[in-house]
Amino acid sequence: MDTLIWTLGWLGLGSVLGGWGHYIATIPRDKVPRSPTIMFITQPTGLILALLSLGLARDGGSIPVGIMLLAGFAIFMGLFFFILYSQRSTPLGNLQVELDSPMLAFEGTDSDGNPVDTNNWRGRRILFKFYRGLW
Amino acid sequence: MKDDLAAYNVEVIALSKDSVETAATHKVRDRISMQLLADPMLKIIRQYGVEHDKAIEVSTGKMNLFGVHLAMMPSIKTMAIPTTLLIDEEGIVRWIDQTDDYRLRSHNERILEVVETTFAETAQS
Repeated sequence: MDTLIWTLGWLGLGSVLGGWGHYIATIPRDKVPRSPTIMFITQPTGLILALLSLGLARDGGSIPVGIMLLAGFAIFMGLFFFILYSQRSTPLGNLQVELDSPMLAFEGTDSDGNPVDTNNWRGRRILFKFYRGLW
Repeated sequence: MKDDLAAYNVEVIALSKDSVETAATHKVRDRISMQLLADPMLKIIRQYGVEHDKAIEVSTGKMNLFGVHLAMMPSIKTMAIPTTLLIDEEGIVRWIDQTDDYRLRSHNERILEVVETTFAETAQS
């Protein structure tokens, strides 16, 4: 019985983390899927296995701390994905620039603390990206 | 990607709500060669109307596991909506690409395609 409980716990965690690993690897490759099928398979599978493991351990008396940590981590990571995924939709802002119109001039600062003035962008071709920041 | 863009004399400049210090860290950590602009007061993000209120940020945590920072500290932040603008020599916006799913960015292939079409006549080989 113990073996089964631990096997289920490890398989659950493996499924969840395997899914995460695969998903994260798509980011630098510029291949993030619009619909992450593999996550939709690995996360619920991992959650079910982890819950089964916890359930069986409880039926057999007290839940060992190791199983709690193992299954708990799997459940946390599995649910965490769904929370993040549910937040994916980004409101389209009230964009203040239009196609074929001038950009909005601004003065800012770069990562070296140097001032940046877009008047100096004249004569240059710029791919200007707004990004969400370090994570 | 950078070399492909350089063939068309296109420079990449990226802006986020990160502070100067965070942007500097980012640049070193991820070996980023493009210029990063820091807009912690959201001045430019708001000027352009690309503000995303109440976005979930999973910031790099202070927890450190075997030298790897754990990105495990979700918080609610205001940040930029991922947006790409192609700006020509005259300061004219030639292309706008905005995402409705923050996980997805302007694909490199698509950017290159647009750059090629926009600046086709002046490519330097």
